Amino acid sequence: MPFSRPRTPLAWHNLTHNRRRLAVAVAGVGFAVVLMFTELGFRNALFDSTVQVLVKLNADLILASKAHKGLVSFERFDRQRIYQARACPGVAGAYPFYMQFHGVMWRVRDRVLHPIRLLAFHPSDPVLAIPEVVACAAGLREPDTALFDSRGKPRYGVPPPPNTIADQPDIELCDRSLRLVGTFELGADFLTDGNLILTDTNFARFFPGRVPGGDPLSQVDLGVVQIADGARLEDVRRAIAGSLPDDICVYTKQEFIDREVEFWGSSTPIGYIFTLGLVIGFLVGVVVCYQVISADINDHIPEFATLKAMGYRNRYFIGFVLQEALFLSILSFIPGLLISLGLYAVLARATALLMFLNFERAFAVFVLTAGMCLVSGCLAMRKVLAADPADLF
Amino acid sequence: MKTPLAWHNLAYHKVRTATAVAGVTFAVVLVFLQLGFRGTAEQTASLVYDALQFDILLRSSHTERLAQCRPFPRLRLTQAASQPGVREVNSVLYGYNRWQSPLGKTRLIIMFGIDPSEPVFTGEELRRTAGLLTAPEFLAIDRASRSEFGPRNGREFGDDDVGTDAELGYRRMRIVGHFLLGTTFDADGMVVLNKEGFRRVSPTWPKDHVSLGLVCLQPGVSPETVARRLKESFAAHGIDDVAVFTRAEAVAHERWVWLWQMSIGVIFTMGVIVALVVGSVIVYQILSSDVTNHLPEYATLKAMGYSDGFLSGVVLQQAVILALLGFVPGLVISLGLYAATAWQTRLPVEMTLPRVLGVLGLSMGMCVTSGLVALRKLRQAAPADLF
Repeated sequence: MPFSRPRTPLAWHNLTHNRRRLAVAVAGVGFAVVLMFTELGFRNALFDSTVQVLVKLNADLILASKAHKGLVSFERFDRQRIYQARACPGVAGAYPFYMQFHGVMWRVRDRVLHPIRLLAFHPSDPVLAIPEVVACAAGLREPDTALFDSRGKPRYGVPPPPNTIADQPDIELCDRSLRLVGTFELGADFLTDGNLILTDTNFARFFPGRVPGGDPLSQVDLGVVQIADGARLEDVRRAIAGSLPDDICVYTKQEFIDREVEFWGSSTPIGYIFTLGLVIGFLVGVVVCYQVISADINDHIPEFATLKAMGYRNRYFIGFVLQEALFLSILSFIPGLLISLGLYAVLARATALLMFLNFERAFAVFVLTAGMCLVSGCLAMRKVLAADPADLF
Repeated sequence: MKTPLAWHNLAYHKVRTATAVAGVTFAVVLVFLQLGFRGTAEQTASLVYDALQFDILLRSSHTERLAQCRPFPRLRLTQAASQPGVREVNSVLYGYNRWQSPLGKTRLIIMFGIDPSEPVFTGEELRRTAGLLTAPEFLAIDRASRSEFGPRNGREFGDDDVGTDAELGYRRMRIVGHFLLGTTFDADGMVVLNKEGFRRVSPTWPKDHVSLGLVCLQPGVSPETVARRLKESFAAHGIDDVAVFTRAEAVAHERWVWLWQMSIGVIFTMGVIVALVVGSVIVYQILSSDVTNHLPEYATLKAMGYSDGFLSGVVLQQAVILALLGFVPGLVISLGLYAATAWQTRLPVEMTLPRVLGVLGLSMGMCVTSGLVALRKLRQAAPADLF
C-alpha cells in the first residue's frame, strides 16, 4: 500500500501554491462566515438583550399573571399571591418585582424626554443578582433616588462612569426630580433604551396612579420565588400552583426565559425578520462555500487525473478533499471571526444591545463552514471519483 | 460578430453556468432582502403621518418621535388657527392601551382619538369609518392588526367582528367598523375611537390636551412660510412645549429617528452593508472563476488572430449575460420573500424601482469588473501560455 499514507501534504500545497487564488477563496469563505455571524448576531441580540433582565433575577420559580404573554404585555397580578406563595412548603422566599415601561419619561433639564424602564423591589429583597443594589442600598432608601444603567444608550445625557454620580445634571422622572446614587450594568433591548432601579417605595412615589384607586404596589408584574435548600423544584412548583388561584402561572426561570424568546420569535415582526435574515444568510454562506471549493477542485481536475492514472485510490482523493476543506475553513474562519467580532463591537456600541459570541455559537458557524466546504468538495470531486483517468484530461 | 460566442460559451457548460447563475441569484436575494427590511423600517416610520391630513404638524416638543408623543395644550391649536393662510386646524389624540378581544386575547394596542366631524384622515375608507364613531363606546379596528388581537376568523378583523364587544383599557367597547392603515415595528395593532371614548379609557389624560395638531393651509400658501411664522409666534409668546413641522420635515424627522437613532434601524443598516459587501464578493468570485475557466478557449481565439478588443467584448458580454441570468430569478425570489414577509409580519415590504435598478446596476458592475480583471490576464499572456 505505497500510496495509502501521503507523505507530502498535497492538499496544503495545492491550496497555498497560488497565493492570489488562495486569497480570493479565503475572502469568499471568510465573507460567508461574516455574513452568517452577522445574521446570527442580530437574532441573538434580540433574544439575549430582551431576556437579560430575567437572567439577572435571583429566581428558581417565577410567578406571572395567567394573561402574561411577554414582558411587553404588562399583565399584572395581586400582591396577595406573593404572600400566599410564601406559605407554600419548600418556598424560602417570594418577592414582588415591579417593572414599568409605558409612560415612563426621563428628562435632563431642558432636553428631550426619553422613555426608560424602571425595575423596582423592596431593598431588602434579594431579587436581582446585581451587586450594586446591595452596595448602594443606603442611598436607594432615600427618597427620589435610583441606580442608573450605565450600559444603556448614551442618550440619557448623564456623564459616563465614573462621573455619573458626581456630575449628574438635573434629572426629572415623570415630572419629579430624581437623584442618582449609583450605577449598574444591564443594557438596552429593542423596546427599552436603558433602565433604572428603584426601591418599591420610591417607585410608588413616581407612579401614585399605577393602580387606579388603589395602592400602587398592590399589583405586581412578576413574583420571584426562591426555594429552600433540599426542596425539589418540581415539588415546590406543584405546591404553589396547587394552592394559588388559577389566575397565576408558575414557571421555572428557564421556562419563563424560553417563553419570552418564543414570544419575540413567533409573535413579533422583528423576530420573523431576523429569523428570515438568518436563514438566507446561512443559505448564502453555504452557497459561497460551495462555489469557492468547487471552483478550486474543478481547476485541478487535470492534476487529479494524473494522480488517478498513477494509481492513487479514491480514498486518497476523499482524504484530500477533507483536508483541503478543513484548511480552507480554518484559514477563512479566523479572519471572518475577527471581522465579525469587530462588527459586534460596533453594533453593541451603537445600539447598547447585548452582542456576544460564545463558544457554542462560534463553533456552530465553524462546523457549518467546514461541513459545507467538505460536502461541496465531495460533490465537485465526484467527477474524479467516477471517471476513467484518461477521460479527465 | 456572427456567432453569439459568449452565449454559446455559457450554454455549452450547462452545469457550470447553472452554478454560477445560482450564486449570483443568491447574492441578489441577500441584498434585496436586507434592503427590503430597511426599506420597511423607513416606510413604516411615516405610516401614521401618511394617513393623516395636514400641511403643518404640531406636536409636543418634549419627545423624539411620534410613538412617544405627549399631550400638549389645545390652546396651541387656536393660536395656530389665527395665522393667516391657515384654513383649518384639526387634532388627534394618540396613546396606548390594553386590548382584550371578544375571545379574551390581550395585547397592547395603539389608539387614535378623533372627532368624527373633522377630516383628519387622507384615505377615503378611514374617513368613512371615522364617521361611524358617533358614540364614545364605538371603535374601529385596523385590519392589519396582528392575529394576536383576536379577530373572529383567527386571521384578520373584518365584517364578522363588526357588532361584537371588546375591552379597551378595561372598558367595554363595541367594534363598529374596520379599516386598513398598517402596522409598524412598535405598533402592531390600531384602533380609532372618538375623543370622548379615548378620554374615558385614558383616565389620566390631561384636560384640554391633544397629541397632534393638524394644520391645513389654504390653497397656494407655502407651508414653509406659515411654519416659520408659527414658530416665531410661539417663540415670541415664550411657548416651548410644542414643535412645528412641515409635512416634509415631520416625515424626514421620523425616518431619521427610525433609521439612525433606534436600534432596529442601525441593525438593518448594518445588515444592508454586510449584504452589499458579501453580495459583491460572491458575484466577483463567480464571474472571475468563470472567466478563468474559459481562458483556454479565449487563448485559442487569440492564437487564431482575434483581437483583444473582440475577446474583451466576449468576456464582457458573458459577464452581463450571467448577471442578468442570475438577477431575474433573484428578483422573482425576492418578490416572493417580500410577499411572505409582508403576509407574516403585516408590514409593508415593497419593491421599489430605484432598488431594482440599483441592485441590477450593482450586479452588472460587479460582473463587468471581475470580467475586466480576468481579462488583464488574457491581454498580458502569450496565447500558448494560457493553455
